[in-house]
Amino acid sequence: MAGRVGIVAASATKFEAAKPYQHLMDLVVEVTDKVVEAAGINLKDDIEAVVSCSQDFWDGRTISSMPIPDAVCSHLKDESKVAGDGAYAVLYGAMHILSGDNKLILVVSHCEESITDGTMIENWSIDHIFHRWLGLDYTMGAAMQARRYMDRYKVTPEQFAKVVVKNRGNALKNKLAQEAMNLTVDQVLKSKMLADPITELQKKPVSDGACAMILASEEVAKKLTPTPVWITGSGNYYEHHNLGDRDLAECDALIKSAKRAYKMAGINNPVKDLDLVELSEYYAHEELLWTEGLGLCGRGEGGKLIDSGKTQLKGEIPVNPSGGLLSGAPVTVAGMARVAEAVWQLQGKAGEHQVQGAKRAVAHGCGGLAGQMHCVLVLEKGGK
Amino acid sequence: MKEKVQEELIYINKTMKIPYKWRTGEVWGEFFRELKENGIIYANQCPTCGRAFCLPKDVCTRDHTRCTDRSKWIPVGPKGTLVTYFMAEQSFLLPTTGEMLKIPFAVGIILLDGATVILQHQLEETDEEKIKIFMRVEAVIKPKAERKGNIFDIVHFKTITE
Repeated sequence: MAGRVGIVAASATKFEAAKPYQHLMDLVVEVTDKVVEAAGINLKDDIEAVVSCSQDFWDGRTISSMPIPDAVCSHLKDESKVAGDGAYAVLYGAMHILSGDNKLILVVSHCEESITDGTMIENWSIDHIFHRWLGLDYTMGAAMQARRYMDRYKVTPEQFAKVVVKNRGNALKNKLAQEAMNLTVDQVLKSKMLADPITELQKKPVSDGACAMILASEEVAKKLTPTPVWITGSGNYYEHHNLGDRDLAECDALIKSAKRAYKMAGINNPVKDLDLVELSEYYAHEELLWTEGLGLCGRGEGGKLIDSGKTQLKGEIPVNPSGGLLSGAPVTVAGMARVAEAVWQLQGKAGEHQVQGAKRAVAHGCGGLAGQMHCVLVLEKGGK
Repeated sequence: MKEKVQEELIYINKTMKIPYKWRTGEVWGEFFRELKENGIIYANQCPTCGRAFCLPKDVCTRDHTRCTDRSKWIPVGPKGTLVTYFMAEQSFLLPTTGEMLKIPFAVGIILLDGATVILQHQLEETDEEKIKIFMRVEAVIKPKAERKGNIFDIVHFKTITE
């Protein structure tokens, strides 16, 4: 990267199945106030630009960012929106800083999945001429991917279930997590079948919440905090939208994203060079596939990796020490919450699920049907 | 050479619906509760700058102060002044009701007596000749039994002479 972008502070709501007492902008105000306080800045006077992240269909209004200026006091400021995953909002925010136009910005994402029917929203994202009519939603797309992955690489539903046991178990230590559970592989496999092989516990729960971050230029970040977290590498690539145009057992967009981000950050051996990974597993099998894409193991070895215990909280390369998406976070917020968790880990503020001595982490966001788009961010503390 | 005529081929015509259950939160929820139960229009005040918001706001848009302190709320209106308006002459299918709008209708921006920030609502008057900027108007509140806790608990604003 041309310069260093620092994350000064991050905040999030507790993630919950529903937040009936808060409307969407209440969530934005909550996380904005928290992050501004954590950064020790003045929202109105110091923040130069705002990047928001939300989606019109989820919010039920076109231009879902329209009420943002009211909530974050950004009238007559630079405000723009990412209508996708929150990791992209962080990346876009970093571009603001790298452009030299802004030195201190707010990035904020929000979503209340509980206000509508997520299955319908997912169906609406699918092409309207052919495939929407077939009754596809993301769970069915995920089931096709899981099945193809099992067939191609001989991974098993038991290995998928181990991801659920690990992540919802890790969530027991995370105060912001929505679904923290002590589970067995058997319980996961015997939970309600949604679309074979995906059972209910293998799917991210319906979730409400928000997340915010303050990004700054190197100079400003150093002034504001003794523990800035630097974005030292990034990569983002897209797969075909049409599932028939790609092999669902592969994750080429993620492989390319990771390679690019690692090259930028000087990472040669991700297992050795990284202290933890926060990735976006909307479904359990995705964690196995994404760990392959991120180079934590060879192709087809995601099942063996979870069996090895290396990705456990106390393992060689903890994956989703926070509990990941399986423990709750809404779409759009999802990837940004991964970045926030990585930031807290690197700042030593993660709490009970702290990975001791964490210096370098990867946060991953993804979105679309069967992981169509991937964004990899390498985050580090200290250096130079 | 003959020009090729551009014709519409096969098209797909479908109306799709999505259900939503939008939350009103603490401030808008309280605004609607007062309107529904007591027929009173409230503005909430910013403790820092003193502006009175109707429609109410969670945080002040100038200084970002929380405006949730209920003791700072004041009843406003029901009388007010028309600041500007539009007259709709063409109808469209209103997604929130699924019905065609009845035309003509006017929507005004109204500064309620006691409030600092304006409110938008429909006017009873549909004869444009009779609508004047800065004319006085008054909210017509639905009878209690018909109130549901939404913006149409105020039927519209009628013209008044004082």
